[in-house]
Amino acid sequence: MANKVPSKGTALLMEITSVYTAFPQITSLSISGEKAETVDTTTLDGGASKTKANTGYVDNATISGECLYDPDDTVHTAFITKVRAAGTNNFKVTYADATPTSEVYAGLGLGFDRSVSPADVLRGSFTIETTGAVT
Amino acid sequence: MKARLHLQQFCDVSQVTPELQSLVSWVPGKDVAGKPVSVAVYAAGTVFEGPIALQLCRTGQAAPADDECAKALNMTQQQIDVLRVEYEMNNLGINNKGDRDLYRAGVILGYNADLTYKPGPKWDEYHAAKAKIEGEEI
Repeated sequence: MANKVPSKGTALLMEITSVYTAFPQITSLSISGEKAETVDTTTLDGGASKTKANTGYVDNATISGECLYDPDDTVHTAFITKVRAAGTNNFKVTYADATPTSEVYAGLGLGFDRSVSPADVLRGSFTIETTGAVT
Repeated sequence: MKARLHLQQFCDVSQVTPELQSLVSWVPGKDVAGKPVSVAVYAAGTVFEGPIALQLCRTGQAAPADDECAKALNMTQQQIDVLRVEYEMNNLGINNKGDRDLYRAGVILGYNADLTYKPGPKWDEYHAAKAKIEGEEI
């Protein structure tokens, strides 16, 4: 039976020198866009309903989220260093289910935006494009 | 320069260098399909040497295990402890401010899979105090 698994308790871990390290002060996290690719196979002599088929490829997910940004934080700094080096990095997402499920994504195309406002704390938003199979 | 891990941490085997090989352990886990697999980890208490030791101390994952590392880190024991607790919360996915305060105070240890809190050593004391306040309000 499917269980209601809380969002709270979900963690994003970034690989740094082979050790998966929790990404700190995350306020929201989204993993979206993973989808089996299809192709339109409708033919001129076909019926009224259009047809589609799987191509056999899968569009990869993009991980995005927001955090309370700390310019002195080691993990935030490591992430921004990877952005500026156009580097690749593995990321692990762990969920708070009974037997914790982890998914490892090969990340690239990393991005990090900051927002500064007098009425708010420093905030950051990050995006991680992924490549290859989730393991 | 040496540092000792506070918690068990997942290891990315694809990035393990020869000098780290001997530190890797394997524990039971499951893959994305739910199939039982062995998962690579660095066990709690593992001692790292070299620049990685300082890096792990700065994230709050480890504490200095020799004078050289302590000197390079340049933090008081209290600062190291605060960093450790912050890291523990990040590792457990405790991001809500109120829940972080409860964790720091020892009231909770994290979350169960059914949205409830895992009680900490101060759980009963906290709820007794809370009930007393609520009783006085009535």
